[in-house]
Amino acid sequence: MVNQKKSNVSALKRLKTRLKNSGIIGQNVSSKKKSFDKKELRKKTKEKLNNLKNEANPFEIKFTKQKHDIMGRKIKGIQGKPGQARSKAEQTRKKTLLVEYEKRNKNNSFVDRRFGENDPTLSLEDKMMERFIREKQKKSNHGDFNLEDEQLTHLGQALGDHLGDEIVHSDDESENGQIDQLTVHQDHFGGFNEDEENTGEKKSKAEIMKEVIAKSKFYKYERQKEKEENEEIKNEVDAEIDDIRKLINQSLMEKKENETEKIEIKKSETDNQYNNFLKSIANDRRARPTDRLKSEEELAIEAKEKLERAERDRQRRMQGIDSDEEEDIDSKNRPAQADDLDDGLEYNYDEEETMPLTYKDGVLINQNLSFSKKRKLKDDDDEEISDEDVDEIDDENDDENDDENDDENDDENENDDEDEDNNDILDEEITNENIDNEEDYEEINENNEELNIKKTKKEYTEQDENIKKEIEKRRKERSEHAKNELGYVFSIPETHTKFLELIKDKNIDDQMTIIKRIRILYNDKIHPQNKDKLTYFFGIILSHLNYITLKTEISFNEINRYTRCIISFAFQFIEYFNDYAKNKLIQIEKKIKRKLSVNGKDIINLNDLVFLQLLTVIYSTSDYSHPIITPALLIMENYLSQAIINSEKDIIKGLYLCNIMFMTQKRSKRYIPEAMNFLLKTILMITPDSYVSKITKSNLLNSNIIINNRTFNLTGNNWKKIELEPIKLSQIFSNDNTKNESVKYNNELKISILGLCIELLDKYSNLYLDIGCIKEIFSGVESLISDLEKMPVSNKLKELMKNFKSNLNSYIQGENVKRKSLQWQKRKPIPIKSIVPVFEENYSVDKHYDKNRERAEHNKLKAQVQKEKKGALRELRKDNMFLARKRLQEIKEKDKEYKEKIKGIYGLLGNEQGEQNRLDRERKRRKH
Amino acid sequence: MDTVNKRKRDESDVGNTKAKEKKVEKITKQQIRKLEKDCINDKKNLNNIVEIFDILKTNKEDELIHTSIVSLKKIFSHYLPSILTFDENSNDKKKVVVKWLKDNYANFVSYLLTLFENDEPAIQIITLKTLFEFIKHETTFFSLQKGFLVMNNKIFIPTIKAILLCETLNKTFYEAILEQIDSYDDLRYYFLKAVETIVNNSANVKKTDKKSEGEAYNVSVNTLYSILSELQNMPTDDSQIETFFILNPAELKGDSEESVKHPLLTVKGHNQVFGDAWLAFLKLPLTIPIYKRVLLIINKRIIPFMTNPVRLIDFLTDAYNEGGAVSLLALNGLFTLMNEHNLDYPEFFTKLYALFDNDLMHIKYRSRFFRLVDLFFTSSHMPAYIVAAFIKKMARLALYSPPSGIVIILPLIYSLMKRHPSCMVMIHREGDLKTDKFDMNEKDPLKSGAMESSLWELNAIRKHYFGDLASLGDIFTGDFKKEPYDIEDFLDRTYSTFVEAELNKKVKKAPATAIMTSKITPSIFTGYCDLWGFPDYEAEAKKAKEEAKKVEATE
Repeated sequence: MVNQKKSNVSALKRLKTRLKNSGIIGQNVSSKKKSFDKKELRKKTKEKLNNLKNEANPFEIKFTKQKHDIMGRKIKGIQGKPGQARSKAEQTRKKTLLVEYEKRNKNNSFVDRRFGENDPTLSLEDKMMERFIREKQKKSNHGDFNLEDEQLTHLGQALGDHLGDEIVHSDDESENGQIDQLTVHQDHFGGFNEDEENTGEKKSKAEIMKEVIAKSKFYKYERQKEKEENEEIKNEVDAEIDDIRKLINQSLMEKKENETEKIEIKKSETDNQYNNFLKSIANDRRARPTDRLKSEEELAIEAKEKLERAERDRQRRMQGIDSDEEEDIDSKNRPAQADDLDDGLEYNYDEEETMPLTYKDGVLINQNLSFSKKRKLKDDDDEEISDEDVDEIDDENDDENDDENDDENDDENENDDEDEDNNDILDEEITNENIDNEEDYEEINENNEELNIKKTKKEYTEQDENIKKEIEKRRKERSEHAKNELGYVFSIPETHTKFLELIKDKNIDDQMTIIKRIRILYNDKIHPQNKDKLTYFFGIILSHLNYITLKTEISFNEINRYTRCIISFAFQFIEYFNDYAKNKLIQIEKKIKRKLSVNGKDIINLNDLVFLQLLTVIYSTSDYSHPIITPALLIMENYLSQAIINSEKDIIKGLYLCNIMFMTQKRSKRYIPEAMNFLLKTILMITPDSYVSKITKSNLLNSNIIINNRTFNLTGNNWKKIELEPIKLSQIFSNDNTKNESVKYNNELKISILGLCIELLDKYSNLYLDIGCIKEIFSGVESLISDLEKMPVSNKLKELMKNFKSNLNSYIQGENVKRKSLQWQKRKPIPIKSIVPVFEENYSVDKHYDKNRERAEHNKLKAQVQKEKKGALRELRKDNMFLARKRLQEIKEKDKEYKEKIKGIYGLLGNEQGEQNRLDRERKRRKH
Repeated sequence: MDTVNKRKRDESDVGNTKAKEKKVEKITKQQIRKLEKDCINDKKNLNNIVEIFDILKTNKEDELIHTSIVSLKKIFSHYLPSILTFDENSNDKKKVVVKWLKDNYANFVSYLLTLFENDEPAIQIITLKTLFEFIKHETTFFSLQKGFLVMNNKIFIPTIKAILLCETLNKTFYEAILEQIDSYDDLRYYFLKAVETIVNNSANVKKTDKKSEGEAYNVSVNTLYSILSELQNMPTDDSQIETFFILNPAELKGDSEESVKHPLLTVKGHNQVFGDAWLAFLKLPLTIPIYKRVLLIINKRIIPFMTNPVRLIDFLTDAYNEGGAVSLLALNGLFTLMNEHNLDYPEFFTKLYALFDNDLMHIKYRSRFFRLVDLFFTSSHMPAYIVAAFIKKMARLALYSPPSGIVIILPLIYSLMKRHPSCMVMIHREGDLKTDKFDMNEKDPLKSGAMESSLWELNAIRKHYFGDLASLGDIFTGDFKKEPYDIEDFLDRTYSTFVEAELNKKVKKAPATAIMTSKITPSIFTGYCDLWGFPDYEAEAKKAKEEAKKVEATE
């Protein structure tokens, strides 16, 4: 268009060139064609002209004038062809709206459902064919099992198409090996065009189809009939076969008879075997794949990783950061299996059940598998028998029994060790089991443990009563027989007194063996109830610990063994132990509160000490905050800072607590003010006043509240001969007052205390090496030690002091070098807010730069809605106008029709009248 | 009845009673009542007095003693007017009788004073009531005579003295005394007056003669304290003075024409004697517990009822200089005096600084003390270097304090730093310090050099074993945007509250267990062996295991 505008040629000329180009006028109109077909030519020309008309009539195009032309802006609708658009719209309206309008009072409408009517791609023939098939299908839609209309195919093609006829295969081809003539004739291309020749006429497709169908039906019927007949004959022959055989082959039969029988017998045997084997295979549980044995390195790596992970978690907890899930699982994990020779209460002693025969380096690892299974069977099925066995053995041969006993022990030990070696292999499995168990346990012991325990106790008392009685009886008998001999089967004691009875007169090793055996016998894998029993038994062991710490004779070996036993128990029943620990802490706290309000005497006894110590071993002590350890620590500090010191025993308890606390802070290295206070206080209490200078005292930071009391001062004035020896705790804590009073409170003990204080201070100073204020913490301690060195004490103690002093000195020196003044308020500088405007490159007005995406989208949608609304309104208006036009046209047409009609009638009437008038006139005329 | 007769009768009476004891064994209450009635009804039977008196003296039975006291009280009350009007010079016929009566009366009174030592509270109480009855009668009599209220100190002071010296002061008796004294305004007034005279006299006596009157001086401090401290009904307004045991002195006013109000009727008078009594009491040598208790109540129970509380300054200063817990307690009283009574106390902060000693964080009264300290420090006019000295010292003390102390110190330091931002150098200093100039032993906060130091102590606190405290220590590393803490929230914490809070915390996760590095169950005594002489149990177990392995290997 622009081109046209530019070339200022007249419209007429342009028309001419275009006509020329399209070949309507000009020389290139072939003369041949002219003569050839004038009609055709005219038609073509008309088409061409129409095309040209539609193509681009410049008069059709309209422009809207723009007031301001802006470069680079595209506006829709500047030019358009309103005429064309209008006529197009009119056309579509005629097709749609008008149809609707005309149909407005009609209910029926015609729908052309003819197949392919609207599909121009199909040829007429195809359409007909398709229509025929459909019609057929419609009519023949009788049922699913109608064979007649089923189209048979071969190689994906309808048989009829391909072969023209059905192939009939005789069932018993082999009978004579001949093919009937018809088949040959038809299928084997025996003759061509025979039919055609016969019929003479070419058959239509439909006829062919009909024939095909009829034939196929016929053959089918034939075939069926034949089959039935064959069947009948077969049956007849079957019925008579024996007679026939006898008749034909009597002699032959006799010969072979024996052989066949033998074969049959053999057959049945092998069949049976086979069947049995099959059954057994079917019944067999599928062998589960076992984890392959891990190599040494893998084991080591695994163990290392496990430990590393545990350490990472610990670190995180130490900083007070919550451990994540991974740790959660980990915390539930057993720690590395704890095992022991005598009281080795490893957790997975039952792994042999879950573990198949395992070899390692060609050696059977769990060779005692069968043994333990046997043992468990015994336990399960009949304890009496096993007891009897034992008794029998006892009776028979003591030596042998000894050996066996040893063997068993060894076996167990061996087993333990090996289990341990391989425990990583099964670690996961076991852990999972344990987790399950714990969950079970949780469910069981949701609220009140004790209640539960009582309940279960009742249950199993009922259950086991008879057995227990029997066992009791037998145990007594046995003890008569061989007092030194340990039993193999024990009933789980229900009370502490019963437990005491059980371990009466046994040495500590035997006691441990008893506990271990009970744990094996009542393994929770054997019976689900055993879990409760064992838990309850754990409670008994815990109370037994209380018992042995309150006895008159204290044996730390005994305490050690029992605490180790408790530790391994605690890891098995950690949930139970958590609750126990918490309750016990609450009890201790109450006791302390009560005693402090009365006289502050004996706030903490050995029992509590051991318990607190136990907690620090079982739980992670380095945590920033720990639900068990934190209150335990506070309780210990409470003793240190508030307990009233009445005797050296109280001091020793305090020192022991200082040591426990030192152990808890070994990793996390946190600061414990009370321990420092207590240690310094103790030193000042022991040391006679004359040895400590006033300046030293003023430099020390400890409180002097209880020091003024001089009863604990060293007596005499020369202690050189007193050697520094460790304190005999078992004597100090002995509850037998008559025995120890004389031993305890002398200078030797005081010197020991002094030495202990210094060693503990040394340890603590090392602990606080990096805390950043060791100088302040140990202010005055150095001079205190210098003062103490002047005391006439043994060389060993002096050496101790000297060591400590030099250590402390070096620590303080080191800190002095390192230390800088605090800079806790250093902050990153905050950047000033920028006020430079945002500059957009390649800015365009049409683009939307709204950064708020939602708002931009909303605006976009709004504009769209507005636009659509406008368009719809316009369309509706136009529709209405179109309809109005139509209606007007109709009315006009009607009027016209009416007028014409009236006109006709008038004309007719006029004619009639005219005729009448004429007749009248004629009649008149006749009259006249 | 002449003296001879009397003596004779006395003798015979003694004989009689002896005989009676032998014969009758028991004298019943009815008999005593009868004797009393006879005596009151007929003057001729006056000798019954002697008889009852003898019963009183000789009998050990509580009930009889009680009845005889009651009887004698009635008899003497009956004859008291005549005794009191007795004139030595008159030549009345009755003179002899009255004199005899008077002597007996005096004997009875003096005997009664000894009866306070009796174990039975009922007897003690009746004795007290009898004596007060006599006092009432006598005082009323003399006051009416003279026209104005004169307390009869002849009986009153010995009575009070006897009470104060009483060794067997049980609770019932004590309550009875208190009720008697505290409920009557006049009795309280004269009691306080008596206390002052008794204590001062005994003090004087002591000064002059240490040996002989040592016991007399020994007024039971406990008794006196418990009575003095329990006086609840001190009047706060003149109109409140309206309950009188003896009589209202205002009723006597008409007779005497003085326009001055009797001191008994004014609050001022009461306060005067109250203050005098307390001051006298405080001069006594007090035991430490009493000392502390006095200091504890001085603020609320003593100072408000004194006319001139400044007179307590000596006592308080002495207590303040005592050191330790006593000083802390004295601080409260001193502060009240300074605050409300314009007492000027030189070098107050220096002395306060001295109170921050090693024991401070370990004593019971620390929360009480810190409440005050917080108050002192609210003054914004304090020089920053003094504040710095306090901050540094508190931080140092925190190194050896229990958690309950640290939990007070940390917020206090924070608040101080917030109020005195120039102290912030102690936790943040650009550049470095060459030497730590703080001197812990310096008494004067001005010279302590705390400003040229840094709070390294907080490093240790931030690594405190108790996580809550450690995180509280972290407030110093954050921005100082919080308001100064209300110290009240942090006082009165103890180990028990901490432990209970810890144990009651809701635990989301199961407590983390230790990591077992060894395959052998650890012994709890591992790590204790060297210091406590345990055998190395773990090594033993290991060894045993190895041996077992060997055995296995050989097999």
